Amino acid sequence: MNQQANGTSELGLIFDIQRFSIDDGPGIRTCVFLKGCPLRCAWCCNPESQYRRPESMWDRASRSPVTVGRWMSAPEVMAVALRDIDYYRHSGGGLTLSGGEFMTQPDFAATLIRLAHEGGLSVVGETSGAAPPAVFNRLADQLDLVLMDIKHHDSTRHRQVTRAPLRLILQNAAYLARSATAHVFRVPVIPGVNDSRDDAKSFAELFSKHGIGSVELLAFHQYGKGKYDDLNREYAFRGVPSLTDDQLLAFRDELILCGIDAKVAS
Amino acid sequence: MPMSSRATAQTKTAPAPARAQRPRPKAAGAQNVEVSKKLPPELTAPQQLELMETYTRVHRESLPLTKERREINCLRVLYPALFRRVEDGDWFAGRLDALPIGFGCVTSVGGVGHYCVFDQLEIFKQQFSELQDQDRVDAMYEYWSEHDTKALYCADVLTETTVGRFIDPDFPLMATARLSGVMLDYPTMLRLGPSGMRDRLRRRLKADPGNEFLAACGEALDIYEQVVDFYLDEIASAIAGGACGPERRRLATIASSLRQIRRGPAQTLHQAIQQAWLFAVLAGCINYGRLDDYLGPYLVRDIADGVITQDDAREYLVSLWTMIENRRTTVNGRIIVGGAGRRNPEAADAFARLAIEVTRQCRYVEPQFTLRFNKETPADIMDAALDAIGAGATYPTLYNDDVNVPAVMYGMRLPKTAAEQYVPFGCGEFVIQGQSIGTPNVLINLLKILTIALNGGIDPMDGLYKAGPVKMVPPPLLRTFEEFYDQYKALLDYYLDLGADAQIRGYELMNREVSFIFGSLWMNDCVERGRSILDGGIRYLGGTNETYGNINASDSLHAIKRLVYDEGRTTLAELRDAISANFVGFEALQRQLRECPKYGNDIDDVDELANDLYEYVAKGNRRRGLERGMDYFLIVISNNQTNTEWGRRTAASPDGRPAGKFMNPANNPQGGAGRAGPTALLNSLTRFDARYHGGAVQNIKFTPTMFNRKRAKVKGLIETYFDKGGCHLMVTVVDSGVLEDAQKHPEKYPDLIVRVSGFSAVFVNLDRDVQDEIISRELYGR
Repeated sequence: MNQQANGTSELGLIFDIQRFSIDDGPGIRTCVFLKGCPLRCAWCCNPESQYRRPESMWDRASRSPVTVGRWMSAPEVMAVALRDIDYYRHSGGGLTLSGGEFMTQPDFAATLIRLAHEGGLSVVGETSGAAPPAVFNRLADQLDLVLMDIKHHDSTRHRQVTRAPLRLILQNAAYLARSATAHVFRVPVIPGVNDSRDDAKSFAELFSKHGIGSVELLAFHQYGKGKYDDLNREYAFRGVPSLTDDQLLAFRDELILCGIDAKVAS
Repeated sequence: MPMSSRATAQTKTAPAPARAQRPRPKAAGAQNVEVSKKLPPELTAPQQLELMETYTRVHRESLPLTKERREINCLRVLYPALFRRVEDGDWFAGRLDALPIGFGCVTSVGGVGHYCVFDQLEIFKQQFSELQDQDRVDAMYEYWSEHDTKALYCADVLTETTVGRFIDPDFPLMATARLSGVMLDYPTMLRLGPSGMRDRLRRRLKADPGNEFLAACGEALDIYEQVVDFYLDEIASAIAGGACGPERRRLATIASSLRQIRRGPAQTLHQAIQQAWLFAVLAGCINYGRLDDYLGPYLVRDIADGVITQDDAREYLVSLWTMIENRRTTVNGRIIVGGAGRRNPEAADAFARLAIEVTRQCRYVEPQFTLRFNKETPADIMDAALDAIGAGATYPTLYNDDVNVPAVMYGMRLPKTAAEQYVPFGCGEFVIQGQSIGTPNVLINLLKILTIALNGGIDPMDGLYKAGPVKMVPPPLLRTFEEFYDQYKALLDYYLDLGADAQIRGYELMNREVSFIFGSLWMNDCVERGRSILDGGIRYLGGTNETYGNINASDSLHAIKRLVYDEGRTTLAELRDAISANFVGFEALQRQLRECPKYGNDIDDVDELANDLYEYVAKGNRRRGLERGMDYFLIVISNNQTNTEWGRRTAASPDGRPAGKFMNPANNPQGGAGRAGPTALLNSLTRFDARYHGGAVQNIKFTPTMFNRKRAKVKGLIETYFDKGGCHLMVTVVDSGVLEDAQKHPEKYPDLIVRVSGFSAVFVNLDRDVQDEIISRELYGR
């Protein structure tokens, strides 16, 4: 087959392929992490995902530096994903595109989605929504499920903590909320950033305005801490404790009282 | 009479045990697998001395007699003398002590045939301060060094450099005499009872008068009756002595059952357990077969008839489990439930449900509770099994009948009805309950042999030549990977020959010395043929060869192929030098070797090479067994702590593993090598065709968070693995960091049970490097 015409000769920059991925989307999935993200969330648990170029990172297992980020063709990625097809079929799983922001590599992502569908796999996309609407709409339409995060309700504060504008994200969220594609909106609840009772109220207002009726809450965690060391980068959230279950539930309850169907993600 | 003067040791309540130091072998046959401590014998030291002296004298005086007569004479010395009184809380009679001298069939309880466990006898001697008593012990030591069955075997089979005793890790092959994994024909036993068996014996003797074996079987039943009578007397005096309340009720129940089963077949659940237990103990069996099949109908009927309640049945099982736990065999104590070929599946499933519940409640190291399952297994039983595992019980260990039954049909060349009666014992070897012997009497270290093949026949670990007559070409002359692989295969062939010969020789020698009469009594077709187990009586005479270092060896082959022959980044000679130097001065090469792809990551060419080596060894072993007249002789990729112990004396290897480090566990990747997640691991594990092995242990480790909170997905993972042809899975659920902490603070974890591979153990009792090996295995989840 002519790869050029098929779009499969194009390479994507991948920083990890995680098999038996069970936290994002239904069933057992393989999660492809695309490198490059327009956001710079200070609490990001995948800091190696941010730059859109390969970079050096310390590997603890081999006690040597390794290069994170590898150019792969879509068929190469699919060859890995298809090795677990029996697990997907049994559990209702499939492929997940994550990042970074997978929509920063739109053509490559579109090819992956097409190949996965041809192989009988469902595809979930995990996005920050920070993409041009044309790109967002096209990819969202192709996906079987979109998991979209909204990190802050206030545009000034959003720019401060993610270094990206909120407006575009909201425009995409509104599209998704009306779209036929299954979707879940999520809020990462970050200590000191968006976790107050007032934050919850403001989120609720924002959601109502954009037609979003339900959200899942993701608790901040420290799993990414070691990666900052391995990348030799500063980590603003060093030592910040995770939210307690009670705090998270209080946040949830506030949203519910404001009319949003909120639940804590398992 | 004080029935409760001696405490019953239970894992749950025992104080933190000191780390068990394994005694080093001092004399032939000294080394046993014994991680756990047993209850001290009930007889006093002088009584034990006297009993062992009597045994020794009777054995000596019986030397001119037939082996059957000698065995019976000796057994009469032991039984009922070594039976313990009924412990407070026990629902069954029949706890049995083992002394350093006696009779048995396995090394984990006493010894093999007429045995002397020399290092234990040395320890025993230290209790005596009188020179005169010590001389008495020494006299026995001297006698048995000429007559202990295993010592005779060792003198016959062991060599200077190639075949060592179990466990002497300097040798590429280890060999031992034992009759492990005997699982009696319990269904027939319970149906016939002693009286039915006596009828059968009489009929056979009429046709074959003068058959010593059949006559001895009758005398074995006399001994059984004497043991029953011993307990009836004991209980009568206990009750006369004022036993009251629940204790009195227990004793009365036991006495009532004993009266029935003294001659007759069992009629109730309690009687059935009591009878099966007594015969198992007398036969030296430490594995108990398909309990749900042979006890399920009694359970259901008793409850339906109002003989007992479900709570009574639960109490019986807890008591049975406790008695098995207290025997402390370390690697045995198998109880099997579930699967194909049960006569009354509904009743058996009722028993299986209760057994899972009891296992979860007890949290013992033993019994090694085993669930066979297939597509017909009720969903609630599978869920209860996963719940028990998730609760940290480490059991059941899971066997997939949809794969194993056809595999056993091929591997052991059996009809389906026989294959359906397969049961795993010990660390995972299969036998056919009541129909076959499959004792693993040889063990082969595939990795050590590879390092020897790489080094011109000399073991880099100790500089000794261990290639026998096999022509060894030095590395510079091995110009292709195939030439190297062929040299390795030639050396493997040599050791597989030695192994098959040693297995056969062990059967011949044990058969010359003993008849294993109590075992033969209930094993097909000994009585029908008028021959004991190893004298042509057993229906299927099989055997197994435990293989070690499988994955280190195949990863090494792959690294050699890639770095030496495909990419030319090093030479075989340089590799040999690096191995001999334990990589000192070759650190860069070691890193390259480590970075080569490894088995366990679902990489085709790596896994294919692993499978190629597996099939070469498995088929070669099987063929050699058949050529020598065994009905089957299969490899088992089982495991205990031997992968670690043998690793201590295995040179550095081309997979990058340094000298002395543990080898990979069973069929799993070396710790740290499997980095692609559980689906990739399981895909690699399903590569090996189960038809060529007689049991292969597959481990996987999860955190409780993942296993319990993501249960649906973990279950999907496990089910898919089994659908893809997975034969077995042993799941450990343990929190991240707990094992590390237990190493530092053993006093805080007296009852932390882990699955070592083929068996469970209390973690803090294991040697440090065995602990390290377990920690090194990939743990899935946060």
